[in-house]
Amino acid sequence: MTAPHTSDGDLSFVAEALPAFISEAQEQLASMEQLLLRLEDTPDDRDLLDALFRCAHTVKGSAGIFGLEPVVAFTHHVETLLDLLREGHVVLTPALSTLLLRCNDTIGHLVTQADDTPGDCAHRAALIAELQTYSGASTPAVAAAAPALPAAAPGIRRWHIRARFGSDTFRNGMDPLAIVRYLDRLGTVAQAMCDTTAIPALDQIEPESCYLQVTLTLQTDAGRDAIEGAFSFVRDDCQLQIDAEPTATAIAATIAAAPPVTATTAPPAKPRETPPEDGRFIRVQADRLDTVINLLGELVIAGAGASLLSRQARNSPLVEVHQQITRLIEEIRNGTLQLRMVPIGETFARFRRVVRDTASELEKDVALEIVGGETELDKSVVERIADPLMHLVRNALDHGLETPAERIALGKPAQGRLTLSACHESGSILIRIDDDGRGVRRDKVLARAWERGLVERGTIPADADILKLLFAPGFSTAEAVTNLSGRGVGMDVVKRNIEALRGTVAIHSTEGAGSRIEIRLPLTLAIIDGFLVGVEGSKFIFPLDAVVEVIESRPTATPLDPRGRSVVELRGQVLPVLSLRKLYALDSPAPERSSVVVIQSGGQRYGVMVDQLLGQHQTVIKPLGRMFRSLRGMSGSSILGNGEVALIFDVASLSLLAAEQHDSPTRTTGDAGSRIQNPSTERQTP
Amino acid sequence: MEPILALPAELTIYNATELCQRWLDWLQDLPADSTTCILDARHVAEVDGAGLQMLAALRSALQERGLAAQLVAPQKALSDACHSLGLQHLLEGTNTPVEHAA
Repeated sequence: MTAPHTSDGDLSFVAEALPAFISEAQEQLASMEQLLLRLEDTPDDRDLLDALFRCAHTVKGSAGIFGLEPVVAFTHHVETLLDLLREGHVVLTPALSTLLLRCNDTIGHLVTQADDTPGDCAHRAALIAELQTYSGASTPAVAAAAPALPAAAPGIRRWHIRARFGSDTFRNGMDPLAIVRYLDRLGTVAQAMCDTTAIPALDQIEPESCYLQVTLTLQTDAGRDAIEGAFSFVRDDCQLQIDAEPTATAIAATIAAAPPVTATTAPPAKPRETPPEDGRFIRVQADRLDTVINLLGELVIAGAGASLLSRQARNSPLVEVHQQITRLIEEIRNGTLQLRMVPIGETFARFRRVVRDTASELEKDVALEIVGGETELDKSVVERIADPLMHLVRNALDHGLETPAERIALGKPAQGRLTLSACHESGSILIRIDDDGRGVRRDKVLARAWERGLVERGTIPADADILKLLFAPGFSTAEAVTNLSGRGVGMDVVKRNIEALRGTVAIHSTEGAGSRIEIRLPLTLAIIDGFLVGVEGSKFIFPLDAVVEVIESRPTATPLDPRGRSVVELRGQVLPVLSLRKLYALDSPAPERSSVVVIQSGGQRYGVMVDQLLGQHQTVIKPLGRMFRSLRGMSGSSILGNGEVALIFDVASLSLLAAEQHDSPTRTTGDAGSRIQNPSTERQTP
Repeated sequence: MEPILALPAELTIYNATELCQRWLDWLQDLPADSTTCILDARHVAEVDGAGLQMLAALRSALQERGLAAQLVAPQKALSDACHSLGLQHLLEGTNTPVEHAA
């Protein structure tokens, strides 16, 4: 179990385990990056420095098993310097931090790239030379050791030795005591324990047989060979096990050598020196989880169908059983969806590096603040929001924040602030990007919009509408287009991507004081709690989180306008209401009794007039078919227990739709209207 | 008076068999009402693994009979050997400080 992977068995092990290694190494490198960035604020935090060293050490150790020599050789230099850092021989300066970040990137590159070009080698050699400059500038003694090669720098290590001596040991003239004393001269025996349980009772003992079993901890700079040498005369009938302290390297070597080891010398399960997190997580392939969630969606629909049938059959025991099943399905649903929830902090943390590098490239000084990183949302949403966020962050750095000189001239602190925050708000997640930069200059935006023909020259839209122009296709306000935040083609793409996630994006800005971009996203794309309502024969679903209350219908203050809008009085306040019957042209007479569902969307409330209240409904979100893509105010569809299709409202766009000027009422109804009037029992193919 | 067992100058493989027999005899002759005994280690000057193994067996035999044994006056040779091999518990009950021979 000394030399890593030489046999065929080991090679196949290596091939199988390599993807896992790459993935883990990337995680370690990501941690290193985060640690380095955190260390910039507290350069002498010993815990962080230790953690940093361990990460590098783990990467190096694991790479060793897989024979990734370039990784091992390069990481060794980094590790050497990190060791000096944590010992306090070298101080972490911003320049050194930059160097280590570059080294981190290089290791990442080496891990993923199997081939090695001469250019890469030269790049690495340059980095190594820089690293050695720092190592060399420390204490002379360490400096001498620093440039040494990996094989020549094992230093003092701790070894765990376990020996069960053969019964003939004494008769062969050997003595365990003498062996231990010899080992004590090789290094220091830090701990010795003798297991005497195998010694028989005095009346049964064979005094010349050896029953001793010794466990030792030895600190020595001698190698395994030297330690084994101490046992050479008893080796034949002694069960001997020698393990280096379970550093990552040792663990890795043990794994690599495991298959060919025979039963007698196989190491027993040893507690591994891994962070506690490892025990608390299980890696699951995302598509397996998706399969479960899809099946769960089907189960929810089937459960609703069974529940409905039992109610129709008026069989109360059956209804009761179904109620219980429904409750359980709901719990499973919540639990399963929870599995896909990940904190957004990981995505936010990635921006630390982006901000750092981008700011230095633009010669700006920016402090990034992250708030609410623990806010969770669906993994698929997190993955798809990363790119739009990246664009917005870069945009803020490039266009929003000023250079230190400009800021000082404006009486602002030299260091700009960029805040990324996240929080939950009525069933959705709200992500904000705030900066205290120059804000959006309306006059420039308007001039550009006139120039581009986005707005008729001379007209001045409302303030909020001017800001919306930023998201118009082909818009850019930067006089000099930089290579950072793109060429103005990004913002409309950002908006489209966010809307594809059933989200919204809005910008608020005060000239001279900064901007705030708000992104609102649904927590999940799969299943939600819905509130089912009926209008005529059609069923609609509101996300339950958006429903504030339900009130009995009351006379409207004004007759409904052609888009079905009016206002009612609620507890002394005016509440705008919207008649679905009118909006979607469901031509049937209004029933005697109706209700108003009060919806909260963003900062505003409005009521929706409906015929029937059908209660809470577990809603499996299915995408709208191609025919209904153009249907506005809707975010998806769902299949009810009886096979009927219900449309799910997007409360934000419904409110916008209701607020729009009365210009093209047919646009929203059209062929969708007839479909809504005839709820089909056929299931829509997603 | 407590029964006393004087340990020999040599606790090694060379006299292990003989010691075993001698100690068994001594245990046999112990008064039935004894609850404690003394292991006098002052003469022990040479120890090896086999000797320590015998001492461990003796300790267990005494414990099995419900006898609290007190090891007195162990010299450096014995205490060093016990520590080296991780058998410190054999020295337990020592009431005399270890006298380190120069």
